[in-house]
Amino acid sequence: MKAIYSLILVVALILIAMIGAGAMGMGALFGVIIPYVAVLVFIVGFVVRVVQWGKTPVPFRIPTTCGQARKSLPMFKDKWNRLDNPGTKLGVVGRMFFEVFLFRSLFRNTKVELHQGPHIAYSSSKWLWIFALIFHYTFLVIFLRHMRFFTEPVPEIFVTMDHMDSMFQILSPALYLSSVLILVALGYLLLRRLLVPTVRYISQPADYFPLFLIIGIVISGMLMRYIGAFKTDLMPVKELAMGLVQFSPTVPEGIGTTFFVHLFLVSVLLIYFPFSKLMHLGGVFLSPTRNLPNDSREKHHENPWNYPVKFHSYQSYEDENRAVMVESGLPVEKPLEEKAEEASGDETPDENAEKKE
Amino acid sequence: MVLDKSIKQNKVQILNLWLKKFTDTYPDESARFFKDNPGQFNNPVGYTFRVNMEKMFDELLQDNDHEKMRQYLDGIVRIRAVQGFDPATALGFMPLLRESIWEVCGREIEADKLHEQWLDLIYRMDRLTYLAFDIYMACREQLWKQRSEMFHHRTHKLLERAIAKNAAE
Amino acid sequence: MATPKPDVLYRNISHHPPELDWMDVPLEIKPGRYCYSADAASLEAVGMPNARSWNPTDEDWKLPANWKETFLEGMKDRLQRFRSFKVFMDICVRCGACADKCHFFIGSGDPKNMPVLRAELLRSVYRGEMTKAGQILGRMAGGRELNEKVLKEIWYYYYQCTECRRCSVYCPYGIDQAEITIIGRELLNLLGLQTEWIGKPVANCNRLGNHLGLPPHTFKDNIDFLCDDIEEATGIKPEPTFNKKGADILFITPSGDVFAEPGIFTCMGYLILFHYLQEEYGMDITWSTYASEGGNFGFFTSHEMMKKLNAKMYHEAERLGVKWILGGECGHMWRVLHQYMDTMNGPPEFLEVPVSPITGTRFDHAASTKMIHIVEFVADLIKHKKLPLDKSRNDHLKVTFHDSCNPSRGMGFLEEPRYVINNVCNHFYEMPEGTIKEQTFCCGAGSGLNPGENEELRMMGGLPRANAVKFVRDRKGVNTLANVCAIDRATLSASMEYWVPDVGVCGVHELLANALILPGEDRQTDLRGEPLPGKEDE
Repeated sequence: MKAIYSLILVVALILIAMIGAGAMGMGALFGVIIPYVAVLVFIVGFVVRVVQWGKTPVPFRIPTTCGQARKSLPMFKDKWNRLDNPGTKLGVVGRMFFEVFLFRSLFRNTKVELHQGPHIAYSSSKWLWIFALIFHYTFLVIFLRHMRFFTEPVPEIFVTMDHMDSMFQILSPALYLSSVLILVALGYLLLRRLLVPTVRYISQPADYFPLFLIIGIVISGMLMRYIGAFKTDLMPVKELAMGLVQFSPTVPEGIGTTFFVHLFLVSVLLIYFPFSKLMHLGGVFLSPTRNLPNDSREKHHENPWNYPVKFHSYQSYEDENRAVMVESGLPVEKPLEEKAEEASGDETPDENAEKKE
Repeated sequence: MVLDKSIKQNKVQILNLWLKKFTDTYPDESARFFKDNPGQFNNPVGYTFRVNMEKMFDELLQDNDHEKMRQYLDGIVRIRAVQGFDPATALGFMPLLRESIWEVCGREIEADKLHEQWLDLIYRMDRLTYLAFDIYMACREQLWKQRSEMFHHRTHKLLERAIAKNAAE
Repeated sequence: MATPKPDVLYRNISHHPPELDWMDVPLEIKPGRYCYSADAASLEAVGMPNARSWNPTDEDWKLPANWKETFLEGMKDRLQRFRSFKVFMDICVRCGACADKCHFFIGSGDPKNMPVLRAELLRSVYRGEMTKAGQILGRMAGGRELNEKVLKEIWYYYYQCTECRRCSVYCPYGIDQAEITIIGRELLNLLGLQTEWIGKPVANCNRLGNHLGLPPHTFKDNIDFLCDDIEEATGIKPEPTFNKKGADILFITPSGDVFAEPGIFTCMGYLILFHYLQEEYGMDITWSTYASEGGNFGFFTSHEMMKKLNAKMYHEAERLGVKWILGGECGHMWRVLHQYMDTMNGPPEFLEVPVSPITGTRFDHAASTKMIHIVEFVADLIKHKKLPLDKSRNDHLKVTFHDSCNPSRGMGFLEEPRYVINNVCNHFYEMPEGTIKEQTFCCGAGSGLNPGENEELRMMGGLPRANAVKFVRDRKGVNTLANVCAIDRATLSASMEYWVPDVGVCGVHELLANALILPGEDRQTDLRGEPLPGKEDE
């Protein structure tokens, strides 16, 4: 049901764009105003979220250590795991690199299992790692590939990228490898949510919605490129894009409705981004279990809100127990005789008893 | 016996059905995890079930050795005994075997009039159910024993010594 | 002959539940899975709010009138104070990588024991009550309102998490359920929803320094008794000092090892080691009756309570004028000492960077905290050949090692104990990969979940560990499960008894003490009174 709601929502968004930009001809709204708003919301929203997180203190140094500590006794030097249990800032940079670019923790899921019999089985989580990696990297490639619409002349790198992406020369215009791969990856991520009971159980509409939204974006993009009825003339599109980045927006004639659907879905994605789980893009850098070195016994870590807490002092302890301590031969700070006067003035068993949070 | 042979021939089908029915006593999410995750170490419940069910199945159609059966049953029952099921559900996997065999071979039993052999098989399976019940009770009793001894363990040295000390004085 | 179709007979036993959204699944508090609620007296003793007598299985938990406000205000406050909490509430994508990593889920199959869902219990409240989207869209945005059922559910499942951090190892963003549980329990404690097995030890540790609440002389007596036992086993009687001013080193270990089997054998190990070091090298080490609890039950209560109990260590070290502190084998204790103590109550200017008085090794990795782990200390002694060891005395033991969650995932303390074990035992076997080191399975009862009334939960949680032990028992004939944690010693003993009955549990220092050759000793038995290999027939 959650998946269906999300799907309906995405379909509704498509209809809005079709009716608005297509039937009602509100090209300026869908081609200029909404994209501008979307980019603004995305940038401001993203920055605000990250700043909010950044401003929240890290009271304790709590890395999850996934290997032998770097700094321990010299004899374990060759077992030091600099990457999974970094002891220095440099090590943390390494750990974060593998985490952010190669999804190292997800990869850790891969586990060869012992079995009776000859075959070895891998847990399914390896697939999650592979498809997550494919999805994120193809998304990046597609994003960069689109830069050719926003630049004039188009820098060499984007042109090369475009060539490499379409190197197989299937179909005309040549099929982008990234488009195919991202659809496969999205399909896996979606089917996994729908079919694996544990994952279906934990999934929210907020998990399906971005999947359907991105699928919608990819498909609308591909329709414009490959399918006759939806094909869009690229010249006015580039004109519109260049106008947007040069802050002199125009809405040229001859842009098909499919393009507006595509653009509208992208705008929705941008607006949705800062308010959603997609913010893991920023959050992954700020996770205190990953981005801190494991050196908390070596170097003092300051907690900005550390406040004094009253504890049961040795003196109170001795005052309460002096007689038995003396009797059993435990050393005391004050001899036993003084206890009588002391005790009369200090009846509260625990000075902390009054302290409330 | 004809029936035994037929059951043996349908081993994979019966076992899969049995396992499915068995894991269906769990919520959907964990049922799939227990059933499909092959890991010996990251899915000890499913693994223990699978391995011991197969061994029981084979043993049932061979020697039906009491000690071996006890060992296989123990693996399964020991887990079921701590998972918060009422006794009937905890031990329901034994009738589920009967059910699975019936669903796979029932038509043949009716058609070939193998009722006597079927009855014989049911007796064998029933004995296993009683055995499972014994093991279940032993597990539960052990849990209660562990529970009641827990505090005792934690402090008995202390009490022992205090008593000894008092006696000495 | 009418054979009744079994299908009909047993149809009623199928417990296949209807497919409900997890938010709609009714809460059932099952006996054997929850811990008894804390006595009012336990909470009052340390000034915790809303102390009262209540029962988790009652409909009415006697919550204070403004409970919802208190909880939500507390949550807001912590969202501003802990980046970990804030980020972990915001960025989970529910990929499910953690789902099957929790020992409680693996053992019980209860879907709400999947770490992601345990976190969602609280996250849904965060979304529903504190984010605009959740307030407007409700369930569509994954949010829900905080009501009594939700609160009870959070309580029930947050006391079914041992804060072991295994999920955090696999999470692509490092989301650590331990951190969420710690803060979740802190919120529950604002409403007086403590469990007795945590509450009582907190009160006891605060007043008397140990979790059983033994007065100073009894604590001392008990260690003296252990010295008598050592004399019986070895012919040598250690004479430890207590609260000795001017000693070089203060030793602190979880008090459980002083009272309970099999921890006492580990404690005897410490006593033998210290005796040897004192006789041979003049090392001056003292025990404290005041700071006599290394384990910090405050850690399972709130950050403030953790600090309050931990403060006694430095306080006592300063009073006694020792140079540095040595800590015994313990799991959560070491998480607190390694990752929290220096920040909360340090740095202790009055202490020195730990230097082994025997080998001269300077423990620079504890330069700020000034507290080192006894296994580090001993590994260094062994490396410098300062301990005469007869490994063959442990030849009757085939040993495997259980990595405790906190030393492995909170310190990276993996090789040190293995080094010591390999130097005191001839037969050491690792459990399979994926169940040891940073991927180790919890004993099933850390973080205060070891009371006994939740026996079934402990056994289910202990199954993955026991299953790996069973594997090495069957393949290698392992009969001893060594570890460096007091809770492990208590919990795994019960867990082994149930799952793998012929495997015993011991601390690393029990093995060390068995192997350590004392001048003038007369040993026929190990510390448990079992005859040593080769001495069986004498």
